[in-house]
Amino acid sequence: MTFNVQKIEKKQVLDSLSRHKDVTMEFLKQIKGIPKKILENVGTDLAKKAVAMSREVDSDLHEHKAFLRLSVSPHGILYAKSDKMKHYNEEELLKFFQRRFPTFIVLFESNRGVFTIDYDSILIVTDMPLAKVLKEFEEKLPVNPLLNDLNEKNYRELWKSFAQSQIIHGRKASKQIVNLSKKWRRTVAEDQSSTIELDEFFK
Amino acid sequence: MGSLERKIVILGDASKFDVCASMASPRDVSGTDRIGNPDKAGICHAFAPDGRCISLFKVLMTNHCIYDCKYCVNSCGNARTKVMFEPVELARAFMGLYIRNYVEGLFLSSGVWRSAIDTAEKMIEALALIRNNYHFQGYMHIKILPGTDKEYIRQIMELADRVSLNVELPSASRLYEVSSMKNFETDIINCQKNIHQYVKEGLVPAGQTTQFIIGTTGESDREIIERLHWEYINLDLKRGYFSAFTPVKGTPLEDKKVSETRQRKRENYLYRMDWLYRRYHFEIERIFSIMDDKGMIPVNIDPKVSLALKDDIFPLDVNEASYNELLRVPGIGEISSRRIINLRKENKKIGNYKDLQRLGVVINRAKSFITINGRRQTRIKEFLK
Repeated sequence: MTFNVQKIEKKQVLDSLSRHKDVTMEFLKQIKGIPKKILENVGTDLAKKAVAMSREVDSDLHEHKAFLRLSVSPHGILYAKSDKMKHYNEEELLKFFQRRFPTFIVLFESNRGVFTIDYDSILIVTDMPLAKVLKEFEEKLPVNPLLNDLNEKNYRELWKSFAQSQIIHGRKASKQIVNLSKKWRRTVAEDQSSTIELDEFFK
Repeated sequence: MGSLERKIVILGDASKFDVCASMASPRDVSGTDRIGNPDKAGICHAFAPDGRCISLFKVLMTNHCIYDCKYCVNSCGNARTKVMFEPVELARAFMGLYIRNYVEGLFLSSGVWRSAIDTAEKMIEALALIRNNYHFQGYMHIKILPGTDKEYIRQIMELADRVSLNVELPSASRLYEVSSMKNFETDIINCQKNIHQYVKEGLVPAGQTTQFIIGTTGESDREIIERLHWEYINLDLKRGYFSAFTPVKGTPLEDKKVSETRQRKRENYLYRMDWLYRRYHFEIERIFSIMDDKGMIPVNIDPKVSLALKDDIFPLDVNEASYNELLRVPGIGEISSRRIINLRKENKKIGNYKDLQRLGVVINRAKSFITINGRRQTRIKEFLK
């Protein structure tokens, strides 16, 4: 049996805070000055604020890891677009997908531009539209044979059918579903809003 | 609806009562010639309206089954449409969903088509395609079918991160009430022992688990927890899952009267008891001590409060209690216990309820069982009013 408790760590809090959209250098300095144990035990109001802000950043990143769907180009490129990213999480998100799909190029478009990471993990940003960036990459990259049989267009439909099949009718747990971030509720299970179950739920 | 989509609907629906909460594997993944990795944090890619996280591509290989389990939607007497994935179409469907970030891994179970060996062969073919052809290095949880041959178990375990075999019911006599064909010892326990042997040899980094179905026969909570306890001790089980029985149309038990609310509560309390035993290291005898004459956990009172009321260590001084003692207080969990101990190491003392609240303690639940620097502020009788 294992014993594993998720802890707040000062290093992690500072790292997340540095990506917060409203953070200032002065505030970061203040937080750095809080003793490690006090910050990690959320022992003061300032520590509480810092931890709350770092959690906003972490949630923003986690939601994108969970709910962002990728499109596939046969040239070995995965790409996606989101206007929901509030904090400066683009690099972390791309690193996550790069670790997961090291054989692919990953492109991500947020309100701040189109981002990608090269093979040396250096972040590249451009203000060109995603379609144009994608086209330029496709021209340079050969077709990936692995993707030939994974490139059908109906995966979204397959996913919707699968998600629907998992519902146990007659069971509802309103507490869990309302805890889900509001901005993702409508899209989280791929057009769940169009299903009878969730329409009834959100009435 | 295409043929593949139809199979996904049927085989996804048939697997929805299988529970799988974890999707983390301690396996190290390196190299660039691969797709996927297991994520330690756990990611939910969607939520069902009942609040369950949808993260794994959870399907059956087939819903054909030679067994006659009375509660099961896939049993041989059930007139539902029977289908089966071809290994290659299952591999393609899963990998297509995975690279699009729809799912976090694969959860593959199955009915028993022709025999456990025939079905296992099909499953191994699909798993080998996923691991070897697509170089998938993410999470795979595979159900071992009752009665599977030892060699096939090993082959599945070489490809999977976690395996499980559903015990379903706590004893041979209980199993016989719902299935005339499954043998509890040879089909289930012996297979679990074989799995355990391979786990000890280093296969499946995330270990083995099992699942119980709750409320099908007249089994008591004590019977279930005893069986689970035996499996933790003898098979080094990672954890047990519980699934409240729901009557399914077309099965012999479709007319069985069950209270959905009661069933859900029982399932919830069994999970909590399991948590107290597995994570908080409550002794098994103490857990049994709060059960009634029929071996059931009382549902009118929170299990941890029930246990605390039987405990003579209270009230505890939060500035003096050990980590394990703090865990026994209702309203104090692992994180807040650790925070209290950390502060103590810094020579800082808790002064009042507000300090405790900042550390994550649920004061309303805890205050009847604690003192702060020797002072006690509420009596248990008042708390229970």
